Amino acid sequence: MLKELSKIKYYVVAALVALGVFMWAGLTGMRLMGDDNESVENQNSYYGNSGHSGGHGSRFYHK
Amino acid sequence: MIDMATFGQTSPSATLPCPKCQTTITYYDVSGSLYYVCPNCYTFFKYENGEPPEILTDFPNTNPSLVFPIGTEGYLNNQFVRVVGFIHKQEAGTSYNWTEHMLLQQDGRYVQLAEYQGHWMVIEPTERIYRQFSPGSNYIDADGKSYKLFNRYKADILNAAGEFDWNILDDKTLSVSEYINPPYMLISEEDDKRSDWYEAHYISQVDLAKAFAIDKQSLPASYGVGAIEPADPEDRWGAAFAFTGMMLVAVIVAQVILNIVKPSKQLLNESFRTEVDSAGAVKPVITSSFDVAGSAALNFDLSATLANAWIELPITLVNEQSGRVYEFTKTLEYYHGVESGESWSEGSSTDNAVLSRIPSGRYHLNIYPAIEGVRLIPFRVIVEQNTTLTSNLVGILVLLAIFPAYLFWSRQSFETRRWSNSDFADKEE
Repeated sequence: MLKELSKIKYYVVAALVALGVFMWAGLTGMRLMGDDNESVENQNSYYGNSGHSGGHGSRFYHK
Repeated sequence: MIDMATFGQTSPSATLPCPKCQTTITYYDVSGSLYYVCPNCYTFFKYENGEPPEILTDFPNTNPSLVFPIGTEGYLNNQFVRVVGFIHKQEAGTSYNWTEHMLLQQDGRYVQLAEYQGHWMVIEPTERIYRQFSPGSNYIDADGKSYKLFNRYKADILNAAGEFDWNILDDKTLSVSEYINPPYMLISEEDDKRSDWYEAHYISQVDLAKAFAIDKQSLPASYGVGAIEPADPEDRWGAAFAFTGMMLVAVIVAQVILNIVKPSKQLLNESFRTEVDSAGAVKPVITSSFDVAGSAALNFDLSATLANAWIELPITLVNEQSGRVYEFTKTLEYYHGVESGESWSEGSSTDNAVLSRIPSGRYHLNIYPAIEGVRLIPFRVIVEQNTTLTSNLVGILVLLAIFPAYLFWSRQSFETRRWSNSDFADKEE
């Protein structure tokens, strides 16, 4: 078995890494190919300083 | 016959004089060889049982450039071999030509080393008689393998050197059929008097160079695809196919584990209706609060009751403890009607969005609907945590498939190029 796998060792390593990343992404809720978040100041945005840019004249509002 | 001598690991040699130029010719199959080519004047003659030599023909007065000169020793098929004969052949009526080296094994049997376009194969005689799968078919089934007819031809002798135990000039009458199952080949040689079978297998230049202890670079460069050159010498396809199957099972198991460890849960399911304030602007909407057990992916299912209308839904997810926000905007639009008696529709009244890696905390949504005019449009927002990230699943499946797909494509391409050299390609399968 190992002899067989040694023929494709790079593929085996890549596949196992991919499986590990898949599991990590699943456990952390990470969508690997990007999500729909558009917030550019996402990391440190708080109430009131997150501007909204609705294309039809809506206003930012918060609780 | 004079001067018998033993050297090397193979059978002892002897010498005889050329009947034309009297050059001393060394030969190695002392008891078996009957036909000889003089290395000086290229006379082909028969010499048997001490009777007067019979000159049969003169080959071109050129010294064929032998990759393995007559007398060369090597180690093949688990025994020592010596090159004792060489034939340069050409397919009758064409310019395709190849070489054949006759190798005398230590056990006294012969094998042949054939080369075409730098691709080599070892050919051995067999007592077996193979038959086509059915009369007129181009297949031979043997030992669980199916051999397909690849080539059928007659050969002319262009040149020769060394010694032989048969009259090579008679080969011109033979009809040769080659059936392949790479890296193996079955060869039929038949004429009015006889029908013989041979079994061949591909030998790489690396193995050949090792067998004769020479530098691989001294072998003719290979080009094209050999008739029985293995498409996948290391059988990476078989290993990749099996491993990919295991990985697919592993991915499914991993997804099941994820679904158990992080089950999906609906956090919010609320319906709203757009409202316009006194200034004519659409009022923002604030949803109820909900708790996220993160880090988690959130899926937002959006739907609206639309009839030839649109609604834009900029949504902000607000962490009520940290103030951190996540924003996205989706526009739902749906139009339909009847034109020339045919109904049509475009757009969709539903859409979804995903925000990933949302930390634990209490959240709510601020929604800033935008619509055309002052219509009242009902819409619904459903939030689910730990949604199955289908794109991740598809992504890893695609990644896993890339290498096997490449191998498959590579093999197919290889076989296409192989069979482009055959007159029987269209009869394959």
